[in-house]
Amino acid sequence: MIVDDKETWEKVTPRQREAIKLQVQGYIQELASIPHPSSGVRSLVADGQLMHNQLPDPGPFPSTRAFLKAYDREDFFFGYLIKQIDPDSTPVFSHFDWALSNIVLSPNMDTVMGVIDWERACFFPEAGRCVHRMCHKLPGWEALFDGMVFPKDVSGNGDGRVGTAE
Amino acid sequence: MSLNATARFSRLFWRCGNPPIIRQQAYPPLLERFLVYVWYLVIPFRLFDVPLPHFLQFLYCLQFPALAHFLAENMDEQWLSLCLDEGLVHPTLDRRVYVLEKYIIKKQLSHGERGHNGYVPIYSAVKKRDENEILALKLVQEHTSIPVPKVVHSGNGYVYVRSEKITSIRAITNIKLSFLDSLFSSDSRG
Repeated sequence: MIVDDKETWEKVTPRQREAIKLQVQGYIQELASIPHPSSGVRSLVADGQLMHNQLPDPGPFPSTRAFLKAYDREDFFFGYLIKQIDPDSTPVFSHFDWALSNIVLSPNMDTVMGVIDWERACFFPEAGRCVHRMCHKLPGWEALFDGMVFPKDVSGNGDGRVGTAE
Repeated sequence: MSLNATARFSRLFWRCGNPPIIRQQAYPPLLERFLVYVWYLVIPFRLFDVPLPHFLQFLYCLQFPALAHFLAENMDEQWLSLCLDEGLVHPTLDRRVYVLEKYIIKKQLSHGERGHNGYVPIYSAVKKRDENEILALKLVQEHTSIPVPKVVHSGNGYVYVRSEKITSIRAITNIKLSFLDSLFSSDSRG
């Protein structure tokens, strides 16, 4: 079963929401541990361009800092984006579209049975936490990444894999 | 035995189909031999249910690129022939999505073809996103235990076919939901 609207989401109990959230957080951490085949903020296709509609400059970017520099614009949306991302965070693999409609639940809505629509998947700082907060506003679901910790590059390049970033 | 008798004896064997050497010389079985090789290759792969892309890769390794190409094209046509309006479930935006009994096919819109309410997709972007998804699914399957659909065939840049094995189709009003649900039945995990 898929939850793709607010009405269905409201039928999910707080306990079930918490269980789903925990399971997806586990997936996010698993994805973040996938080794980066190259480096930087990029997708998996040859040219490495990002596929998200909200990101007009598709890159790819050699590091998190390069990404932040490219989006350092006089715009509320991008200003918000810049503030959210730790410049020292390293790009990790992410689904990049954790909409509830992309998560297949068991009929009793207790467990996640699968994850679909990986077309936007990419290596992104903090697994795309900031973009998720902006794009997914269903109550409780916007806080999916809360409390999660991601790798941080202490050398300051934003493309290594040392330390952690909250 | 006289020479005449030997010749008669030989002809008798010939009629019985016994002397293989003579038959091979008379009918060089190049095509036959080729078909037999193909048959020997295909049967084990079909028996053990080896996915087609792996089989095609195997054929390429064995220096049968023409055969692999032929089979791939043939498979594309077969998959496309399954894309009937009855199975079309989404309002079409970037692609048409067809739900079959055991598979889901994502088919890109061809150039000039419009989506729902005249929506014009960015064709090159959709193609790239499909490529990205296939690579992502492979990466996720290799490195994690996250249940994701399996790509069973990707053909000629416009057809993408996904996971299989339906154990139960639950009575959910929205057909899209019920089939997606079944993609992740316990049989198809891992």
